Amino acid sequence: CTKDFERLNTPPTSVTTIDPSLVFSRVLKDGTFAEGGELPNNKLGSWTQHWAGGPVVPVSRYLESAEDAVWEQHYSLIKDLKQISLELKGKESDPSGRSKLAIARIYEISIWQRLTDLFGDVPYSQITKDPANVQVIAPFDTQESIYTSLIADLNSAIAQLNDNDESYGTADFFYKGSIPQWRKFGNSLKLRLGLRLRYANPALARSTVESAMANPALLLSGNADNAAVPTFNNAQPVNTNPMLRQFQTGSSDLRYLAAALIDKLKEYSDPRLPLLAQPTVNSVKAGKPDYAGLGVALTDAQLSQVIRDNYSTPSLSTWFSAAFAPIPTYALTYSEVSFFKAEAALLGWGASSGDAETFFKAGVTAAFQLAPYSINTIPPAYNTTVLSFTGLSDAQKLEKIMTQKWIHLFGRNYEAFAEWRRNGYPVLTPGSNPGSTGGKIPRRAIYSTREAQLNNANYQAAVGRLSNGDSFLSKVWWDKR
Amino acid sequence: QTGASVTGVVKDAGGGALPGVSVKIENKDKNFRSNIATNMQGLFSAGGIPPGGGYTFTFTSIGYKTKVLEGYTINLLDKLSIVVTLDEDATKLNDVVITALGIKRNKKALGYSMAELKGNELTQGSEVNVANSLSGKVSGVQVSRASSGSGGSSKVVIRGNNSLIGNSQPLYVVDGVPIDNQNIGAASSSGGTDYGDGISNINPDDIATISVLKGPNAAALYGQRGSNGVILITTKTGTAGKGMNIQVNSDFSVGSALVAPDFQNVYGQGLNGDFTHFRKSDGTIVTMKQALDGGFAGTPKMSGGRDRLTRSSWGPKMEGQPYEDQWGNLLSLTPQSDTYTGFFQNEKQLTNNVSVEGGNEKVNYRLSYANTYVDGYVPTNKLKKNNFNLRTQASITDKFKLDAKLNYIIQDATNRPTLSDASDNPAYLLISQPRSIPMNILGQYKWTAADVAKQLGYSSPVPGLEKTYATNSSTANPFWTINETKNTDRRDRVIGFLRLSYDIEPWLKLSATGGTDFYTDQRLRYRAVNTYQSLNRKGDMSETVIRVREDNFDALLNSNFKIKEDFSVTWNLGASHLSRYLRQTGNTGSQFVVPNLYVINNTLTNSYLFDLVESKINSVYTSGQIGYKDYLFLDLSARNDWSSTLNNNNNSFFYPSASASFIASEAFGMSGKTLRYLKFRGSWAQAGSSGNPYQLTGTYSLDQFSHGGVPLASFTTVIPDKNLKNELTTSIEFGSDLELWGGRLGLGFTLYQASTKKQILDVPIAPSSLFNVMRINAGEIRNRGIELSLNGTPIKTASGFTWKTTFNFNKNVNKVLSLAPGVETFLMGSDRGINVVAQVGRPFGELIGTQFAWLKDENGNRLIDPDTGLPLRSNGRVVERIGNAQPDWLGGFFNSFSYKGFTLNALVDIRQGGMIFSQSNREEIIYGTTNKTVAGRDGSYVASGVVGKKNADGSWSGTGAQNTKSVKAQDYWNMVASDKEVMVSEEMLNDGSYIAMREISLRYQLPAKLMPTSKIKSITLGVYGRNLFYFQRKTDGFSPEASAFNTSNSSIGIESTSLPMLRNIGFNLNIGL
Repeated sequence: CTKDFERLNTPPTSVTTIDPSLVFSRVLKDGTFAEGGELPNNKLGSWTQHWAGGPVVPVSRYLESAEDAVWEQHYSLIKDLKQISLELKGKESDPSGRSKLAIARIYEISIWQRLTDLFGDVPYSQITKDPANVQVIAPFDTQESIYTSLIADLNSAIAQLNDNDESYGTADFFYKGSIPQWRKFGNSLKLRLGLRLRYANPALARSTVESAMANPALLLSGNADNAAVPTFNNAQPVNTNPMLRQFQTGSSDLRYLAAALIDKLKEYSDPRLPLLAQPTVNSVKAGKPDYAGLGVALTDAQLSQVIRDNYSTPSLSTWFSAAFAPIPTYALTYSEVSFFKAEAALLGWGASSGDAETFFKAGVTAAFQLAPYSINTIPPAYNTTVLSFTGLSDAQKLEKIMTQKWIHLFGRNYEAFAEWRRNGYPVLTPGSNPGSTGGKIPRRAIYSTREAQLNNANYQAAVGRLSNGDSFLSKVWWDKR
Repeated sequence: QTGASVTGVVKDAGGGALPGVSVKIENKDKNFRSNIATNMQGLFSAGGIPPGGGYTFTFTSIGYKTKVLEGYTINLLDKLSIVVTLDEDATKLNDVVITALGIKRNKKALGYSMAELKGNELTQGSEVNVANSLSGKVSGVQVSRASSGSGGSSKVVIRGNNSLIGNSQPLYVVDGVPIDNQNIGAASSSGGTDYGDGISNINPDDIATISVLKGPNAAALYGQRGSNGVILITTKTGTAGKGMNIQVNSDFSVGSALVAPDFQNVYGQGLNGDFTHFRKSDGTIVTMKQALDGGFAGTPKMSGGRDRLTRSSWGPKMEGQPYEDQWGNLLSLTPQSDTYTGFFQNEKQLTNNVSVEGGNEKVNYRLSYANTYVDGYVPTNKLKKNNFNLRTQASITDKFKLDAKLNYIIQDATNRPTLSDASDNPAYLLISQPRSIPMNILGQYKWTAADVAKQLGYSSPVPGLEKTYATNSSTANPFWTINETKNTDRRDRVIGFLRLSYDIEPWLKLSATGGTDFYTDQRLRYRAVNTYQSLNRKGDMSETVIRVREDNFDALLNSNFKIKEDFSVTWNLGASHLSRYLRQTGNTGSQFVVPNLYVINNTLTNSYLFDLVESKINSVYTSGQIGYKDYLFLDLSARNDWSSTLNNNNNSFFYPSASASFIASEAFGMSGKTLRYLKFRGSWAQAGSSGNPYQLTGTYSLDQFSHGGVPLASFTTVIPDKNLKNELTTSIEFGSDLELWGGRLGLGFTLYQASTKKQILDVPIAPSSLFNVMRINAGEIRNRGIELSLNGTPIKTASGFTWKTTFNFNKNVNKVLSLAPGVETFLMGSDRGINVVAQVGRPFGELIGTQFAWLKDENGNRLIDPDTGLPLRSNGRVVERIGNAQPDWLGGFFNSFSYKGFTLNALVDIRQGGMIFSQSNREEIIYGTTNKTVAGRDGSYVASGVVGKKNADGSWSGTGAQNTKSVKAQDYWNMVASDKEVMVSEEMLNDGSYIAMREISLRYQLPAKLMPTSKIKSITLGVYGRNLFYFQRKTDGFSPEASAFNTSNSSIGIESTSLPMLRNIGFNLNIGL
């Protein structure tokens, strides 16, 4: 009388093994979409002063709050990447699995980098490899050791790529299964890993950067190489560009752009401004359309004086428009790579200083070309004033590079926050609300409360290594500026 | 007609007719046996009796001493008529009670504590959910309810929470057949609707008795689902007698809020004691500061916004000042005392019930129809319930009997309110909106072109759009919600059983029962085009069909014999099969193409919903009792289950029980005047439990939505364990019952301990493990407690005046002894600012504050910053224990006075201890809407605490001096809470203690001489009030016993913008024909 029990207890709506491509698609999509949207924009994005934030997102006013969801989402992405490797177990040297495993590993490294960049030390080396043997508690590895390991792993993963192997095909949103393009992604990621260590471990930074720069053809070499996930407008909110989803489902109080971004674009007379931002309601009413950004981290007294119709949101005909052609989300772009190359060139790492301006301009040109701007020609005046390196010190050149990267990374909040912290450019003035930081811009995110409660001893050990405890003001290892 | 007949009447000592007395007519020589009962007039009649001598009549009735008349001769032509008087049996403990498997037992033979309530001891009047009527009536039973009004769910916990997962609720068994009591799709901390639980469908008028079996000791024979106790409901049956007996019962009640938030009516919308913005005479808008600095002419203007800076009541005193609201209406700033009551309405509830019963000695039947109509507290919320019930019992032959029931329930509900943290919970807006907003202004719930032109602070509104108070979705306009959004649900449910029994020998009976409970729920929700919060403001809808079925089959062999003279033996052997099934299909769609057409294919984007859950349990069990004389009883039981939810190696498990009862008063002949009854009892029992289906394997699931046609999949976040085993609850109890002074005072007490080991737990693990939870057998929770019940008859006069009183008490001490290896904390629920956890070494239901904390000195005094006069708050978030949600003790005090036809009942329900974290309090503080925020708005608020001083290392310590520096009340309360993400968690705690006047009812049964016609046999009139008032309540603005958003463990100790519990006043009329 128990013979049908096994059949009865077989889950009817799920399976125990699966084509890993389906899992890979999900990871690429979720991992890429995670960078933008209402909360990242108004948390990290208000610290980097792309977005104004507001009282309903207290962390935008420097009030501490743990980033539980970010933490959990990253480990969940890593869980699914580990499952891919379990599904492909035994095929490590076989063309049917070898390059697929390498691609999953390369993408995983980019997720690890994002996680450690935001928090500092995180559990890394001792975490669960197989659900049959769960590591309930894992020590936090130092960011230094994580970076060392990621760089070594990235080298071996790139070496494992073989152009004739089986790949993910159309399940691969980035490259439709193109292994040569994944090689370019891997090398470009190496460039990013290397430069992040520029001030923390210059020797390792240099060797990593030089290795990545050794063959320019193996880096992203045009917008066609961008790692991007397409979006869809007349679909579910989960399929739309996170910025559009913010407009469609989020709070209207959280749609305002920060003064720093608008002011910089106005200062540059940047042709992207009218495509990026919306003129203020009151300026349009008055017949003189103009753009204005709102201050960040305002005090109660300041906020009570705000008339929102005097400030700009993203453009209602591009970012905030379902009628505009869907804008892809990016994980890594040729522009970013160009800016990294320019920075490396200034250091003489893998290129000469004289190449810096060329790389820089190539990065800006590519950035202009991307949706929603699609500007194919840089105005000559912009080229000669804003983009010219003539007569500038290295620091000034770096500031220009980082400022353009900061504009380019609008909507890519994790990377924008990491790069701003690393080099300190553009120079941002904190808002006036003291919050938990005494009015300083936060330098990291607070660990997950779940992790703190459930992995407490290891959490405490990691917090002990932080200069200012588990606070906004402690700096991660590579943050030396 | 063949055979002789006999009629008779049964009366009590006072000469009153006794209905429902069982009359057994037997003649061993002629092998004749008949079981009938008296009707409302106390009459019985039996026919078809073989003539002859040797007849025995046995009259039994609960509460009366059994009377046996022997040696009667019945002749064919005689009309034998018997008049019998039964003496009241003051020894209540001799009552026959219904125990597990529906077996009637003499209460004195039970080795464990149980309680039984008669139909007339249940709530007088229209409590839609019968579970609520247990509150305060039985020791060890805690009843709370979801804050969802009539038709909502109730939570019953017996002797404390045993299980970390699930809801620790008992099994409901109706007429021997378990019913489904799921609460499918219940509300969570982030919103949702309470569609009612399974027990709420049962018609209270059909209930004859309710027995409460308090845990595995009493419920071992129900197996795993009995481990949290069993509530046995026995419904009414027809009684044999002359003709039909018709009962008509009508009940009407009106409900209003028992406790509403303590609103202030002094200060209106604004900030810092003033308006925020200003419209100059030229039409342009500036801030108030600019207006004051510039000395402009014009009118103060309000602005829309999501946060307290624009929509709070920290503004000017309401003194009739003219101003323009955020939409452009020109108003005067005046108190609006009806901002809460002006939206809600009195709940009206009408229940009509008709029953027809009758039968003869072979067949009896009872047919009832009940109709319930509730016009809810939230306007447009309606509940209609039709309940048909047919019960029949028949003797096919003398030995072969049939018992069958068919209960058909149709329930239709409209616009059930949304609960907790959801936009369209009406309470959410009404507790936080400015005290100066007139309800008729809020009632203009659609934007007009004029509003659009004059608004301030909104982002691109268009005419026709839902006009929200704030710019954000978190506060929908409740008038829009009730008029432009809709939810309907319909349940069609059939509960039925068929039981056949055969008396193989007079001492051996075989019975077989098949029972089924199946229902279909159809749920539809939509939000019209222009609902602010819907995607692209284009509306959305969902439609769900849920089909649930539970089948129970059992076969039971029951024997009853005596070994020698002094030993009686009862032995049962049974087997049962349970199968459960749930299938859910549905569609959700958003963005309507054509307005006002609410079908899925009218939506631009849509998706499916599918779920299927099935399980089976097979069991065999045996139980037996040996009685020695009339004073020593020993019970033994054993059961083995095979459950489909565990794997082949572990799916069989065994659990036994044993109990004993010793009637010392009989054994030692102590039936003296003072102590006339003394019983000792003890019991030990186990109950296994096998968890939910599909808990063994880790699986991949496909995402609901593909991404541009590319399918997405992910692996579960739960680490499964293939080798899960059953949970095991072990329970032990000892107790005693005694009666003093001729039965005038009865006392019962019980000590118990129950612990559940090897719980099947989804243990939360650190996210760095890559998973959310690990499913393992782990943990042990222990409940220990004492139950006391006292019942007495302080006054009983010859003139017929009686005062009966009952007091019951339960103190339960709960402790989490262990969790999983390496796991010290188990998270049960989590909401803004609060986690509800189980922690090793602490009682279940610890409340952990997760936001800011006050800085305090070593004596617990708050430290006050000498510069600002404000209390000092932790710099970042803290995780600290702030209280526990479990009550210290529960009690009930019941009094009944009767005189002639009048009966006055009063129930006081008591709970002491247990903390509740209130999200409403947080909203009220942020927005300055309640009275506690009024004092000191002019700057004279002095925060309690001691003056702090800053140490060299940056930390603070106290100086010992009391703070005297005064501040603005607004600044103080903004330190307490300024946002749902920024609050001092401990300030939201409320003591959940209460002493409530739960129920007062007055009934009057008209004497026979007052009957208008002889066709009417009885008329009873009643008035009642439920949830009348509190003798003691410590919560701020809500009822402690009805504040949760659901009935699971995840909401223990959390109040979340709840709807008020209602005070019901009603009357009823019962006519017997």
